[in-house]
Order: sequence, then structure tokens, then C-alpha cells
Amino acid sequence: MLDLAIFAALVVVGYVVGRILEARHYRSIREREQTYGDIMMFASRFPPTLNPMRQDLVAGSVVVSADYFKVLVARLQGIVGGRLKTYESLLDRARREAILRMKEDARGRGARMIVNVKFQTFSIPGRKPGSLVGVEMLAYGTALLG
Amino acid sequence: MAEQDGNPQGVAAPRSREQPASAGPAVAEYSNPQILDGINVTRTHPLADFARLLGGIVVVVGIVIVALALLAGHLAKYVPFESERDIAERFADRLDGDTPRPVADYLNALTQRLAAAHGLPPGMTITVHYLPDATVNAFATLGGHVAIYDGLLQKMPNENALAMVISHEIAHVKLRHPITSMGRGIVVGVALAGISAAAGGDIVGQVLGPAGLLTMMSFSRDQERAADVAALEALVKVYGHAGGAADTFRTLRDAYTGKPRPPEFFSTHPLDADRIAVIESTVTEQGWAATGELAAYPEEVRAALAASQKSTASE
Amino acid sequence: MLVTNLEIVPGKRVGKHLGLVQGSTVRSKHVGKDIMAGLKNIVGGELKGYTDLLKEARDEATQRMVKQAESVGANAVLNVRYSTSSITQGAAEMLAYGTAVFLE
Repeated sequence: MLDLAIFAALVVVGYVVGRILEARHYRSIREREQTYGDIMMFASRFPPTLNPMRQDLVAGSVVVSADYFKVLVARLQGIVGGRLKTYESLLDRARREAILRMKEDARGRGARMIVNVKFQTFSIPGRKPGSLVGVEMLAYGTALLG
Repeated sequence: MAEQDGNPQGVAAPRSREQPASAGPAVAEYSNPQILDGINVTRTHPLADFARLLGGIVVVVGIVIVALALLAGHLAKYVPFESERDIAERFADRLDGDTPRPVADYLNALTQRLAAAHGLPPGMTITVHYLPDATVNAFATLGGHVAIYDGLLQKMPNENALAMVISHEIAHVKLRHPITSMGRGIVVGVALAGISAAAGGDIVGQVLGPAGLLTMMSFSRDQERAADVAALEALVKVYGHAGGAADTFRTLRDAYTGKPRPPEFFSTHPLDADRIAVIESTVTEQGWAATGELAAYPEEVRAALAASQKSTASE
Repeated sequence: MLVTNLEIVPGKRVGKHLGLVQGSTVRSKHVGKDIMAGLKNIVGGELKGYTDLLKEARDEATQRMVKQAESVGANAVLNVRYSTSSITQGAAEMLAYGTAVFLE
């Protein structure tokens, strides 16, 4: 009974705090997407011109973890299958955060364009077999300078 | 050279884009308009999803568990009593402590008298055991083994109250409750383990485990009620009246007064007050005599119990 | 050393292809980080310690790749890719690889 009570408390804390953090994160993401809106980003493998220009590899990454509530809902959803809605927003946030960090990197080097952008998602395994600590989102590409 | 053997397409693409580049700034035709927000997420309230999921799963799992438990309980009744006794042989000797002779004889005689009144099916026998422990309790287990704790013997105010307890445990055996519970326990345990393993382990088990436990407890409460009624009938057959039966539960209630007891929903037994009420209403319904002459423990049994209590106290 | 994930370098010509170079490192986090992450897992969100740890590992993998490229006399690595995989419980390999070239 005590186990269940502790577990329920963690789920409630996870839900309340996790939701506040998520809302705050999304606000920050939207703001920074405006700020870095002038840095263009393309998945094409080639630069727009063959004129001489400097280029630099830039990257942004973030490791995120789901809160207890998200995990619980996802596990329950896993029984019946279908869309894991709680994880969709988590990964969406993480990928956008990674992009923003990559753009920040590019801005720091004075670049205005990133081409050949690639994404990579890595699940970080925990110590217990089958457990998961978090998920790393990586975005990288070539920043074109000048 | 590199462009040629490295990647032929790599040359074509930039060259075609080189045309507008000469007309203006290289990035002129490139732009990154703001993308509509929220396309990659589903906008539903997470709590609503959670409630829908949990409700649906609990209902389905609940139905499955109850159905399995009913089926297992039903099938368990077809397990021959002999096989039950074979299972019990493995642990029955652990129930035999050193019982004072008068107590053993007295318990055996009382038990056989009650067992006869129950009209047990052929082949079913009851073996009574005395456990020298201060616990105020008694139990019936596989193979017709009934165990009475010293603490309960000491606390019961008269023979009729004790007979009600023994009769209750005999009723469990007669109604095949020990084997039914074991069958249910195994089936429900396996089903829950299967479901939580399929769902990915601990976190779902946390939710489903208590659900299974509550199901088992509610079955167990039903068994207690059934055993109470059957026990009462045998008691009336032996003594001609139902006197002392309610004393049993009053004594149990008093024995636990001041000690924390879980509320009924979380308990394997119905509350004592409810059991007393059931006894009283059954007696009225059947038109049995509610009271009558109460038998005391025989002298030599009382002496043996007093001696055992002294030795327990000195420990 | 130019490191890029493009296959060409505008304005430059690849004089020599010097083969595939790669850098990798296997990292595990210490128990303290796990405990912190375990606490953070309750409310979710970014695990800063892990972000830094993986970034560090990736930087090291990149450096090792660059060292390989230097050892073959390259001045650029093209078409760089990253790859991450979990090796055992609590350990991850970070790999960076690309084509070492000499740009003229």
C-alpha cells in the first residue's frame, strides 16, 4: 500500500512539475525560434553556391527524460498500442531544442545558413537491463560563413 | 577530379543553383519561413488520456482476473481431496508442536463432533493442530488441516465460542476454500505477472498488483461469510442453540481493540461487527435458539492452558 | 583542419582522397550522475549532466577523427557522420567518421 502511495505521489509530482516545465520550455523554444529565425537551415547536401566560402561543422544536442506521469501513460498506452501522445511532445521539444542549440553554435561563428542538417536520436540505457535514462537528440550540419 | 569520381550528382546540383547566385546574393532564393507550430504533437489533455487508458485497462484486466479467478475457483473444487492431502503432507508435520495431552484430546474430540455435524463428504477428514503461540487466531489449510493458536484458546470465553471457530475452519475445508484460494492465487498471480511483463515491467505492475490483491481479498471475504453461515448451522446441530457464536467475534474484536486493523476493503475478513450482525440475522431467519446453556472448558484443559500461559509469560 | 558534413568544398578542389578516418570513444557515466538523473526522471526535462557528457564524448570522437586525418596528411574531413550506440548497460560508444582529403 505504501509503495503505491509513494508511486502515486511521484506520478502527481511528475505531472504537475513536468507540465509546468514543458509549458515553460515551449515558451522558450518559440521565443528562441524567433530569435534564430534568420539562420536558415536545409537538409540538402549541397551548398547554394560553389563560390569560395568558409564552412564549419556545427552541432546542438540535448538529453531529455520523461517524467513519471509521461512514462506511466506511455506504458499503459503500450498495452493497447497506438499513439504515445506524451512522448510526442517530449521528442518534439527535444529536437527543436537541439536545432536551436545548433543554430546558436552557428550564430556564434557568424554563420547565417546551415546545410546538410542531420538528426540522430540515441536512447541512453540505464544500469538496470531494459531501463532508460533518457534520450539524446543531436542535430548537426555544416554552417556556411560569409 | 574529385567532383567527378566522388559524386557526379554533386556537381550538377550546385551548378544549377549557381545561375541565380550570379544575379544576386547567393542565398536569395533560400528562405526559412516560420513553420506552423504543434503539427508533430497531439493536443489532447494528458489527464483525460490517462483517465481513459487507466479506466479501460483496469476494467478489462479486472474482468479477466475475476473471470480467471471464478474459473480457477470452480475447477479447484474438482481436485480430489486426496491430492489436496498429498500436497499438505509436505508441510503438515510443521503444524505439530508439543501439545499438552488434555488439550490435544479435547480439541480432537470437539473437532470430530463438529465435523460429524457438518456432514463432510466421504474421504474428507479433519486434523486439528494446536500451535503454542500467543497469536489470537486459527486457520484451515490444504488437506483438512485446522490449526488453533494457544492465544485463541486462552481468549475464548467458553467452549461454544471455541467450537464456533473450529466449526468455521471446518466449513472452510468442507467448502474447499484452501484449494480454491490456492488455485485462484496461482492463476491470478500468473495472469498479473504476464500482463505487467507484457506491458514492460515494474511501473504497470505497481498499478496492477494492488488491483489483483483487492480482487483476492474480496473473494476471501465472501468465503469467510459463507464459512460463518455453515459453521453456525453445525454449531446449532451440536449444541441445540447458537449461543456463544457471537461471543467469538466479540472476543476477536476486543483482542484487537486498540491495535490498528485495516478497513474492511483492505482486509481478508469482514469486520467483526458485520459478522455478528450476519450471525444474529441468520439465527432469526432459521428460527434457531439464539442462546442456551454455555459449556465451559473441562477442568484438566483449563489447567493445561494456565500452565502453558505461565510458560509463555515467563519467556 | 576543415571538418564538414558536406561532400564538396566550394571554391576548393580535392587533390587527394586519403580514405576513411574515424574517431570513437566509449563512455560510461558515474553512479552519482545516475542518481541525479534518477531524481530528475520524476519530473522529466533536460538531463544537463548527460547532455554535457555526450557532448564531451562526441567532441573527443571528433578530435580523434581529426588526429587520424592529420596522420594521413589530410587538411580536411568531408561528409562527416556521427553515430551513437549503447554497448552494455550504462555505456555508450560515440563514433565520428568521414573522408580524409587534401584540398588544393
